[in-house]
Order: sequence, then C-alpha cells, then structure tokens
Amino acid sequence: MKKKDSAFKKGILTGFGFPGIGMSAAMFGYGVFAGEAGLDLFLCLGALLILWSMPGMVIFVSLYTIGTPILLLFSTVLLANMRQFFLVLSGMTIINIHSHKISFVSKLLWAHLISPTGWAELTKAKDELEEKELLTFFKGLTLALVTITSFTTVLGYKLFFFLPEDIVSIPIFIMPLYLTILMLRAVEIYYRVAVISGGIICPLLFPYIGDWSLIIAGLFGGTIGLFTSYLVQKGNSNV
Amino acid sequence: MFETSTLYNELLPWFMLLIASLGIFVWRFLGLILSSKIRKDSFFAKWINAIAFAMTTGLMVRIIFFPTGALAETELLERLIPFLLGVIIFLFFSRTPIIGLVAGVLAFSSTVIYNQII
Repeated sequence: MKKKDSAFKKGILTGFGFPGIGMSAAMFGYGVFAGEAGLDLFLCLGALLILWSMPGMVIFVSLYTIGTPILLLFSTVLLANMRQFFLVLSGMTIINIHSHKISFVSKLLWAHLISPTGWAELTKAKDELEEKELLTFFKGLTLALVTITSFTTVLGYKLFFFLPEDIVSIPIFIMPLYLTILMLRAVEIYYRVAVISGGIICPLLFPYIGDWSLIIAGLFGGTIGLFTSYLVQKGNSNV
Repeated sequence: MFETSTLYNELLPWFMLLIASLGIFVWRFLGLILSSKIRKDSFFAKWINAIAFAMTTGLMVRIIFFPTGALAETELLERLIPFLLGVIIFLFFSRTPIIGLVAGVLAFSSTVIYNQII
C-alpha cells in the first residue's frame, strides 16, 4: 500500500515539477490563443480536457472559429493526430495496461490522457519504478498535469489582453527544450539514434509536407534507430 | 422556434468538439487495442517506442523552427541558439539535466527581455 502511495506521490510531484511547468506553459499559450479567437471559456476548457492534444486543440479553435464544415474538421484533426496512435501504443505497452484488473473504459481513459509529456515521463519512470507501479505513477502524474494545465489555460484565457506576446513566449519555450533533453537521456543506442534522426528529419520535411513530416520522421527515425542497433549488435557479435 | 434555435446555437460548439474528439479517439482506441497484442520486450515494441521517441523529438524541434502563437513572435535565431545551448550544456552535464534546461531558458528569456527593453 505504501509503495503504491509513493508511486502516486512521485507522479504528483513529477507533474507539478518541470514537466507540468512546461506543459502548462504551452496550455497558457493555448488559453491566450482561444481567448484571442473569441472562444467561450467553458468550451476552451472543455477542448483541453476532451481533446487533450495540443494540435487537436489548436485545429479545433482555428477551424471552429471560421465555421469549417464538420467533415473537414474531423479529417483535419484525424490526420494531424496520428502520432497519438504511436504514443498510446508505446505508453500502454510500457504500463502493461492489460495486466491491470481495470475496466475497458478505465483503460480508454488512461489511453486518452497520454500526452507527449506524460509518455516521456513514463519512459523515464520505467527505469525507476516497478512495472506494476507505473499505472499508479501515471495516475498521479495525470492528476497533476490536468490540474495545473486547466489552471494555466484559464489564466492564459483571462490574461491574454494584458501580456505582451514576447513575454508569453518564455514559458512556452520550456516544453520543447525540456522534452528534447528528456528524450536525449535515453540510454539505449536505438532510442538515441531515433531521437537525433527524428529531430533532423521533421523540420527538414515540414515546409514541404506539413504535419505528415511528423509521421515520416517517426517512422524513418525509429527504423534507422533500430537498424543501427542491429548493426552494432552484429558488429559486437562478429568481434 | 426561438428556443430551438437558441439550443441549437448553444449545443453546436460542443457537437463540433465531439466530432473533433472522434478524430483523436480513433487513434487512441486503436493504440489501446493493439497494445494488448504486443509483448513489452519484443522487437516490435522497441520499434514502436523508437518511433515515439523520434516523433516526440521531431515535434519539439519543429516547434523551435516553425512555431505558432506567441513563440512565433520571436526570431528563429533567438529560439534556436538558446535551444542548442541548452542541449549542448545538457550533453556536458548529463547527470544533472536541469542545468541544461535552466541555461537554455535563461538564455532565451534574456534575449526576449532585452528585446522588450530596447
């Protein structure tokens, strides 16, 4: 019981630490964006909790405010969020969600709450906690992230009028740097190669193929990483 | 008639939100279903994890190069140099990653505040 509590506490503390600050800074920016677009506050907060995906939220606000047809809204969100598939697949495998005796709806809820930040913290926590504790850790982490991001979204929504955009950019800068550093902490060589390849391929392709660059960078980066690992292992076994 | 149209106007945004959420739900649902078929230490699981690593980094680097919203108000070099500084310092002090993070954020905020002042 105590161990469970400590995993939950660790999740809460992690969530309120740098990951939470980074993510909530981005949500602060989203709050500003939604406020500028004239979205209702409850809808802004509803989009945060129901979509729980920054690209999804930004697309929703942008397209909803210009009165886009439903089918276009659906297909744009669908295409821009394919990465959720890989994050959920990876995150749920790390947690080993199917080994826990919880209902399918609960599993869906935890799958819904996977974000790049949450997933990145899971990959870090898997080396520090036992596998069965990871779900409890994730519950604590998610509770903290939902709380802090809801708060900063409302704050951003209310404050967008007063703050210069340059100053708003400072907290938003934390998340990309923090998550890149977190990714570079991976010990295994295939993850490191995947991180570097993904970081190079995505911005190179983005001007030409937009959001597809993320999927291509992921597929190529991940494959290059695993192939490198295979070559290194083969080289070692030959020696 | 008036009440019906008011109700429609009030519910429409939430209906649109529901439709948008379905676009994300599809991927999450598929991810959850497929995760039951994969062994954690299998080659496929490693590949999926490597893809997620590459995609997450790709997304973060993309935010630095092609930001939207408030971050887009800053110049590319103003974002890129502090970002690289943070990463390089992290590589030197990888046991204490906070040093790289703080250095990068301090460098970026100094530039932004300096631009505000002049």
